[in-house]
Parts: sequence; structure tokens; C-alpha cells
Amino acid sequence: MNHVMLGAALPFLVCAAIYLARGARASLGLLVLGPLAMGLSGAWAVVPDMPRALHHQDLYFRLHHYRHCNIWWFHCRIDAHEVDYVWYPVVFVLVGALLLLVAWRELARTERDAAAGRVG
Amino acid sequence: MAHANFHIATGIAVGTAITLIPLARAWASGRPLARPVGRLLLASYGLGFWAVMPGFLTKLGAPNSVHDAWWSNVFVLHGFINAHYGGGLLIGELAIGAAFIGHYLLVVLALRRARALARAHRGRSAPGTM
Repeated sequence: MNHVMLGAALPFLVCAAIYLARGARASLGLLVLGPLAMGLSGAWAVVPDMPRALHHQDLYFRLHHYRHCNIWWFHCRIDAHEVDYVWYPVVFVLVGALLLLVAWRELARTERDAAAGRVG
Repeated sequence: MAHANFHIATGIAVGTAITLIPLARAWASGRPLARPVGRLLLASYGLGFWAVMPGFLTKLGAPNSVHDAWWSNVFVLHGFINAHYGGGLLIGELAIGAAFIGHYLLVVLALRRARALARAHRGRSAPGTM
């Protein structure tokens, strides 16, 4: 869980900065590419764990002992110092809710502006 | 006994199902979608949360029999599901993830439609465009 969260954190922060710099408005591009980048970056962070899900234990152990294992967003370093906090899943859910809320807010504002005769 | 993820996924599915038809009607008739989409999201995740209320009750000290009591069916058939299904951690997790992606895509598509409608409206109402 924390590998995915930490992997998704950088694109999330970049998107949040762009969103705030644009006066809390999001383009369609940002709404599509932002979560896509978060998903891909989060998936990249758990590449060494994927063989276990596919029952390839040998590859799983090889990746975890690979010299450059930290290219997957410091995967092995995090594993070595990993602490499971109860708030990891809570933050995970909150980030998901925030993504939905931002997209829905943009929809509501677009329709309200259109009804008022303002087109962005 | 079914896993909490399975109960959450069931709640989300029920919430989506009961709010999808009004949304589809609004979509087909060209009406604004923010309200029906908002209702769909609230109903889906609200019922997802409601479906695991027995788990919160037992965490607060209620006996484990809460999960199988007949009245726990008020929590999106919690008791019935527990009596007829066991497990569901992975399938529940996958279903929640798929529902989230589907809901997000729905909001993005609704936004795309709203912007296209707004542009078309501006094109019609702009002077000298006829």
C-alpha cells in the first residue's frame, strides 16, 4: 500500500500544484493525464512485487536482490524500513475521493457557467 | 463470512444501479449532469460505507453475531451475503477499483459533454454566425 502511495505522490503533488496555480480549475488534460500518471507511477513502485502475484517466486526474490532495486521508487529501501500505519489506507481512500471531487466540481462549474452564458 | 471488501463492493454496485437510470435519462435528453452524477457518487460510496456498518459496530463492542443477525440485512443484505458467501478479499478489491475507475471516467466524459454542449451553445448564440 505505501509503495503505491509513495509512487503516486510525486505526480499527485505536481498535479495539485498545477491545479492550484490555475485558480483551482482543471483542464480535461489534467483530469485524464494526472490520475493516469499517478496510476503508472504507483504501478512502477510495485514492479518488484508483481511476480509474487503471478506466482513467480524466483523472479520475485531476484528483483528484491537486484543491485538497482531502488529504481522502482526506492522499493527495497522502503521494504527495509517499512512500518505499516493505519492511516495509509485512509490517505489512499482520501486521495481517491479528492480526485472524484475535483472532477465533479469541474463538471458542476462548467455546467453552471454554461447556464449563466459564460463559456470557459 | 464475506470479506469487508466484498460488502463494500456490493454497496457500491447497488448504489450505482439505483442511480444509473436517472443519470442515463438526463444524459440522453441533454440536461445538466452534475446533480445526477453527484447523486450516483454519493449513493454508491455512501451505500459502500453503509454495507460495512456491522464491522464498525463490532469494533465498538457489539457481539460478532451482528454479522449474521437477520436485521443486519438492512446493511445492504449483510447477513444474507455472509450466510451464502465466504471470502471476497481480492474480488472485492478488484470490484472497488473497477468501480472507482468507471465512476471517474463517467465524470470526465460528462465534463467533456458539458464543454462540447457549451461550445455548441456559444456557436449558436454568437452574433453573425448564422
